[in-house]
Amino acid sequence: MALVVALGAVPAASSWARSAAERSTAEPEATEPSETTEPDAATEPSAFIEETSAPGPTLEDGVLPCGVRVIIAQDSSLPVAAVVLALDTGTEDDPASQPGLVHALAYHLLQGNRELRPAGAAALVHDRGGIASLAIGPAQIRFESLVPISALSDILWAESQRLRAPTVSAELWSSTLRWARRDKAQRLRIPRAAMAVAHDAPGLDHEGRAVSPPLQQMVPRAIAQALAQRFRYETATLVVVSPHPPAELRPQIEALFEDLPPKARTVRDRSPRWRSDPVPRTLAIQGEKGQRFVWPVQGDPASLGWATVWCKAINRQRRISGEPARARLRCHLDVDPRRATLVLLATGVEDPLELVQTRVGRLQNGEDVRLIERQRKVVARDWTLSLRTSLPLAQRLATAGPVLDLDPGWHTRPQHWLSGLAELTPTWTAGRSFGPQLDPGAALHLVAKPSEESDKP
Amino acid sequence: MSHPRRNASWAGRVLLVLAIAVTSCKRTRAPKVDEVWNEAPAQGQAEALGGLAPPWRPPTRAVLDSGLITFWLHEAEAPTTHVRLLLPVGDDDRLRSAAMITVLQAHLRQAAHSRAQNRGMRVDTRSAPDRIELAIHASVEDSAPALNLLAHVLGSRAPAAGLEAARAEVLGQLKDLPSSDERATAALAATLLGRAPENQGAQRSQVEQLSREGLVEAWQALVDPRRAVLVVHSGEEASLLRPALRMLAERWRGFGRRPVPPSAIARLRATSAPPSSNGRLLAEPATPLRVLPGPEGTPVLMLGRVIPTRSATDRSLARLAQRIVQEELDARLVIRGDYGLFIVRVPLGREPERSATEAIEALTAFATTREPQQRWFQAAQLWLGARVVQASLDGEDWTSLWSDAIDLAENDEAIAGALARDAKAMLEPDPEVLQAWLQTWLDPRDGEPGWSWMVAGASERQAKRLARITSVQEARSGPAQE
Repeated sequence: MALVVALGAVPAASSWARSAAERSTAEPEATEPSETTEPDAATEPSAFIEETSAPGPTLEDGVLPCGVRVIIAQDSSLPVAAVVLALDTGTEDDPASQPGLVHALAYHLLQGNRELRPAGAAALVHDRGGIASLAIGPAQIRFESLVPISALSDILWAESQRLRAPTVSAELWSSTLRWARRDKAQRLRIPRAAMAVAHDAPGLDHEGRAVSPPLQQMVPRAIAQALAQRFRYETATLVVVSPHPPAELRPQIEALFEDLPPKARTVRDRSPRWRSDPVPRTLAIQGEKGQRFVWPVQGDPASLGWATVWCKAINRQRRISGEPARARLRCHLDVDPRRATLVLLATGVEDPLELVQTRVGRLQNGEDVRLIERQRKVVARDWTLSLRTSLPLAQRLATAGPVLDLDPGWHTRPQHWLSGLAELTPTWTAGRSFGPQLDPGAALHLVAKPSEESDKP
Repeated sequence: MSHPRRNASWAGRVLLVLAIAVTSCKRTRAPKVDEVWNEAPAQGQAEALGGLAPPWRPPTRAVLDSGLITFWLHEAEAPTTHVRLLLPVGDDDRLRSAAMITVLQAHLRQAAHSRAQNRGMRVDTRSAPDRIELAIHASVEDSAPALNLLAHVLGSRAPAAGLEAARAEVLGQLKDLPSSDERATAALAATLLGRAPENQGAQRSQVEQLSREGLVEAWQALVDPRRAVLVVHSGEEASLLRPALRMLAERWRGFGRRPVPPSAIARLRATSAPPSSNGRLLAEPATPLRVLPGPEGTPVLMLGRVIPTRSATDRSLARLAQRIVQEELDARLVIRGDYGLFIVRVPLGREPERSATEAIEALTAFATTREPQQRWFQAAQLWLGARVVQASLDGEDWTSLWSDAIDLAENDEAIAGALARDAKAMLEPDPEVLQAWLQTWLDPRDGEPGWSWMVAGASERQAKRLARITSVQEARSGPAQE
């Protein structure tokens, strides 16, 4: 039987880490600033249904005195446990002078501390037949493991130790950078500059997985300081999915963190700032043809689920009479738990914006209600199958919207609400709102950069 | 009470002496000390690990009107349904050719996939010892449609066009020439199982030669419910899906008269253990090394034997041994009920005779050296842990584990507890029994005879060098040449 080993002596980050090597060095040319709508304080999914009415199993969600959020769900199908430690930081938080810093620091957290030898946490997992992996994104970092149930206590202990005073030395940092260099850049559908403007996050406009020269010159003290600043339990979420009832695991987890000093939980709000203008704002980028429209997607599973449904529906829309024979609208979703981006590409027409408005209008005015409903069913079924297993469920729960105002203590909440499945369950009916998603006024239109400007050095 | 300052100066002197000693007599290598670490593992931990098997309730077993044996594994509140059909291929002459099996499996996958893709279901097929398996994964609401899909695919009487399309797909994927690895593995497995080599690996020319009538005939022999076994893992009770099962029994029926084995084990394990050869490697009576003809390439040596695995203890010992050998050699083990195939792959370098000798010496050393009990325990822990972790990654599909359990059980009643017994036996090996077992079955020089070896991809020069250590035969790559 094949043993899947994602991390070993030479760990590798999982694939959703954001970084595009290819794109141009084109500088974004921001258009006039326009009105923005502030997001709601709570970044839970925009509710089609109430949380209290969500069906299915429940889980325990709480914040410990040290500030770490803990989500405990039960899956008793097999004697395995999935543990995910998610940190609310990512490559978009790199300082401008040190691109790639967060990516490298995430790798350095595999180097252990006073309690764990270098790569000790991964070895704990592998020696018991489990798998461990590291996922580095623009706004979230996850340490993931799937282990047989007999190893759960050890892994929980390892995760309760991971962020405590990591061992730092010049030698270890050098090996960390060697690991970090092996990560390949991921290709994105749009330039990073467009991502940064669409999400209103300037930190997205750089290669987050590069190992830049300033990183090689960092001294141990600076590394330790950077780790302490960025990787803290009050910004972390620990997700555990196991056959144990959540109430049984709670005391064990509380005991593991009780020696940490009390801290208020700190979570950064990274919700998109939606514009309410009637027309899209434009961004001039070299090589663009004015055919692409970009929307940010809210960073929670339900929003990502609906974006998937709409994207699939758009790709299956039929051409209507009056449209040119070569008119085509394609939708693509760059998936990321916090910084997903929806891209529409309109080709074969003189006015791409008109094609987008017509097609999206058909979705919004109920003409394609059956098409959306069919795609909703497909996505809901896919999610049901994938969330059936422990590790994908834990990964999904770790990407649940960062609750900004969760009361201290434990809360029993519907599992499908946090995983986003509840939002996909009700039938789609005509007249239901899309929200700002797919609203042309909230889009970013990528247009060609005038040639004289692009010729400038 | 001692004075702290006096203690400090005493400690300082000791450190100074130690430092001088260390610098004055530089040691180039660590002393070789045999480490004895033979503690028995903690009982509590062993018990916790002993439960490394799915929490199965006794399944619902039924024989449908069509003769299909069905096991229904119900898991309350599971949101999914997994349907796995096990089709034996070992005991029918029409299904002996690997080329034929490859085409039939491709057709099974194509036919099921074309019906499943727009219904949110997933389909996969896999080969297991002497059988092929078709699995359909769906949400629990689609349990009945999944069974209906099975009825449509298997109830099709003459899928000649579909079989031709599958043949074209297989031809598109097959390489013109199999690699040295593939040739050596197929030849060794054929020798050990006492079968024709063409039954162990599909080749392009064989696939091209299959006739249309032969394909249809083989399809009908394959999809016979009187020889098949269906396993369902679902959040639904079997009683709720009686109409769908009834329809499956009506639409899918077997052709003609055939013996109907009464149990799943009898159906899936129709072939008996192969006869054992009578040779050892680099010892008397010596098995000659067979050099397979064919193109020169990366030379590879495959050596192996049949291991009896009649009891749970035998199986767990074989598994543990493979796990430990794997740390040094590329060792593979396929357990099929009461026997298993143990095969070691040895890449041959510039000095092929040396590579071969070293591999055999490593095996002999492993079989004759007493390993600490803790090492066996760790190996068992890792293997059992990896088994459930892999099952989770594969979709928490109990039918897949049930299929593994069939290979570990003696009768139908024992299937449900087979994985748990396997886990328990692996975690509690008796060191003396283990050592005796290793010496008997895994020592190619002094253990029980029954070893064979093959080389593929070797040049004439390499074959000559191999002849320095043993007698070499040019083989047609068939069995029973000894």
